[in-house]
Amino acid sequence: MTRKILLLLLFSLLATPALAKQEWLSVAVRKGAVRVSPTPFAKIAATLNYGERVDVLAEQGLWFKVRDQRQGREGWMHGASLIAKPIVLKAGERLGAAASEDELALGGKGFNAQVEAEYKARGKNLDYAAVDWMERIQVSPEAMREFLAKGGLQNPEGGAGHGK
Amino acid sequence: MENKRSFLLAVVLLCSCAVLVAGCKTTDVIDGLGAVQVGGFRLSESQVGALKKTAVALEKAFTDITPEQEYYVGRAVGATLLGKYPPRTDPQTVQYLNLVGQSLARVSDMPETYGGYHFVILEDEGINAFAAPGGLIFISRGMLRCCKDEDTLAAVLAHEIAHIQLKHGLQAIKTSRLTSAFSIMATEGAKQAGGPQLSQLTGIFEDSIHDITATLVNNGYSRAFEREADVAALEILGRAGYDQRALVAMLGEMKQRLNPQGLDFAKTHPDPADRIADLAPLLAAATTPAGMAVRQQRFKSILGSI
Repeated sequence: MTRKILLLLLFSLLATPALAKQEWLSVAVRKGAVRVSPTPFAKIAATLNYGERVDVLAEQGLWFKVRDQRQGREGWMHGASLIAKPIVLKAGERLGAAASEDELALGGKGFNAQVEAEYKARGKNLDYAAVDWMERIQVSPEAMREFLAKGGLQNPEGGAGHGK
Repeated sequence: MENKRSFLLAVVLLCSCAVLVAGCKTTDVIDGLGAVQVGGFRLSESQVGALKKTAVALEKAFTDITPEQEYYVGRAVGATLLGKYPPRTDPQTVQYLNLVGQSLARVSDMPETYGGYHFVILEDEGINAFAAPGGLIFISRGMLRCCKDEDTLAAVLAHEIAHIQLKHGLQAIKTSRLTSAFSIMATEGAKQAGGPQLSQLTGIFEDSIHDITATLVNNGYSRAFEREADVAALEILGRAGYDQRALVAMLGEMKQRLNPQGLDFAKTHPDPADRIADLAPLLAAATTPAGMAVRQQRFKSILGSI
């Protein structure tokens, strides 16, 4: 009996999404898009930097309605661009509350630019210039919108694809 | 005795949950546990502490790799692949490939990554497609020849996006390497990484990149991972408005063109016929979406002669 209850308890606790518990989240990507609605191709209202914090106002599926703590801008961010931990950019340069070792581990520690430089120096047949070129490839929102519309793909407002 | 058994049960449960549920925060669960009394059974403080320790160790798996670290792993995998095969750089092809790719990545469950999604064609005659963690996606000329239209190209790209979304690349890294990396990060505390620690971390990084590239180029993922990626690809194609059956069409064409002795997909992927058989039941309700003709036309004019 005890086991059954414990099992149920553990599973119900584990089922709670990790992001949902926290009132604020950190931007975990280099350029975090804040969109006007919780849809993939909605207009970008603001772009937040890595490590900036947002307050969570509402949730819808994988999307979070947020307000950025620095400038108070509001909009929707996808959960993939957020993390429920503080991000400290460099040792000693933190964004807010006191940093523990765990938090510091997120702040550019581990596999980072320094490790990359060392790896590059050791490595053979690595083409990092081609990677840099690849990362500069961008498609503009206008080109994207035209591409979707002409191809009968997902409509630019981001609703379900109308090709049904 | 009952307490001991329950405690053991709890440990086993937590272990299996931590492994099975990607990203779940086991420590949060245990924080809750200490305060809860269940049917006259209560975990002592030391039991909670012991559980916490186990859970923390288990959490330090691939799910604890931050998007930023995933980005550096992906760049290194990309640099290795691009060191082997040069990319095609004509602007019109690059733009078109990235429009198709972005229309899919944006509707995936992982539309944002630290460095974003970027797509290139590799000058490689073998039938290959690779996804480096974090969003760098590579498709060979040989694979492009298996694509007769935009929808089949989208099917290939959706499958690669799925590998990234499901973090299959990161899971190719041996867990022991990550455990070592995380322990180095923990011991250095607030100090800047440097000296012997940097050298150690770089060694682990090097081995981790080797784990991933060996899987991508030589050994392939498990059939279970490929199936997972195929199923997620169908979802992505459907959301974007592409024909889901294009994945099966592409696999059929691949089956025709694959040389069974080849060192490409023939070696790294399950037989296309098996993948087609796995997908068939999921496509019973698929219909032809609008816009096929326009998409076919633009594919032909840009990639038709590749």
